[in-house]
Amino acid sequence: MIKGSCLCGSATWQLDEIPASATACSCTACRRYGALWAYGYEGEDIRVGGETTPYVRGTALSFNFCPKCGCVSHWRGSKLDEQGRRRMAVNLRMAEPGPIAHVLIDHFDGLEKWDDLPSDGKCIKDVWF
Amino acid sequence: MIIEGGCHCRNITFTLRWEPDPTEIPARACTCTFCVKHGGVWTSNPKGSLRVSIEDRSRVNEYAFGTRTALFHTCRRCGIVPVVTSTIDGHLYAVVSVNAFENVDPAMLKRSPATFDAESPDTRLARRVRNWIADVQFVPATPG
Repeated sequence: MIKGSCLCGSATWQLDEIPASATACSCTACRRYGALWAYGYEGEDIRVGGETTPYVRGTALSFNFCPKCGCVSHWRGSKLDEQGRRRMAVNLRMAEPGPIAHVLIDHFDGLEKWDDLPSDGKCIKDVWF
Repeated sequence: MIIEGGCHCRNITFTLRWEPDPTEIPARACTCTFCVKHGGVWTSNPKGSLRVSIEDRSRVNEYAFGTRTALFHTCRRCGIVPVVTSTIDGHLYAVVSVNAFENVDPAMLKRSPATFDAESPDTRLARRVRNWIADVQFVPATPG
C-alpha cells in the first residue's frame, strides 16, 4: 500500500499497490499540473480523503486539487463504467519519493495523437525534479 | 521573443518579453516540498518584462509557506500555479512556470534541478534580486 498527501496535508489518497508504471501526459492540463498518474478505481484500489476542488473537463473527468495549497491529488471519472465502477488516477507526486523511485514512466501524447508514446526507459527518480 | 502563458482556465495569464530572442531557456526544477508536489519548473530573465493579467482576483490564492517571502499565485478554478512573486525592499520580482508556457518549443527548455534548501533568508532574497524578473506589473485583464 502507498499513501499520498498534498503539501498542507488536507487532501490524501491511498493506493493498494505500488504501480508498475506512472503516466506523464502532455495535454494542456496535465503538463501544467506536472502530474504523474497511477490508475485504479474509486473505493476499490484507490481511496481519497479530505476536501478538494474539482476542475471539470468536458464530460469525462474532473481534476481535484487542495483548495489551500493547490496540489493536485487525483482525477476522477465523471461517469461510472458498464460494471458500475468509477475510473480514477492518483498523482504520485503526493507520495514520498523513495518507494516509487523505480516506477517506470509511460509517456502519453494527450495533446495531438491521443496515444501512447514509446518508452524512454526512464523511471520516476529520473524525472522527479 | 514574447512568451505567452497562463493557467489552464486562463484566469491568470502572462506575457514575458525576453530579448534578445533566447536560443535556450533555463528551466529550474526546484526541489522544495511545494515544487516537488506541484512538479514546479521555473524560469526567469532578470532583464525580461513580465505582465500578469488576472480575470477574477477572488479566484486566485496567494499561497505562502516556509520563509513566507514568496507568493505562489494559484488559480482557485483550475489549480495551476503560473507565477511566483517576491516583494523585496518594496520591489516586485517574479518567476514563471515553464509548464504554463503556450508558444515555446519544449526543446528550448534546458532543464536542471535546483536546490535552495541551505540558503539563509538574506542569501535567498539577494539571489532573487539578481536572477528573478525585475520588471513585473499586474495589468488589467483584456476582455475576450
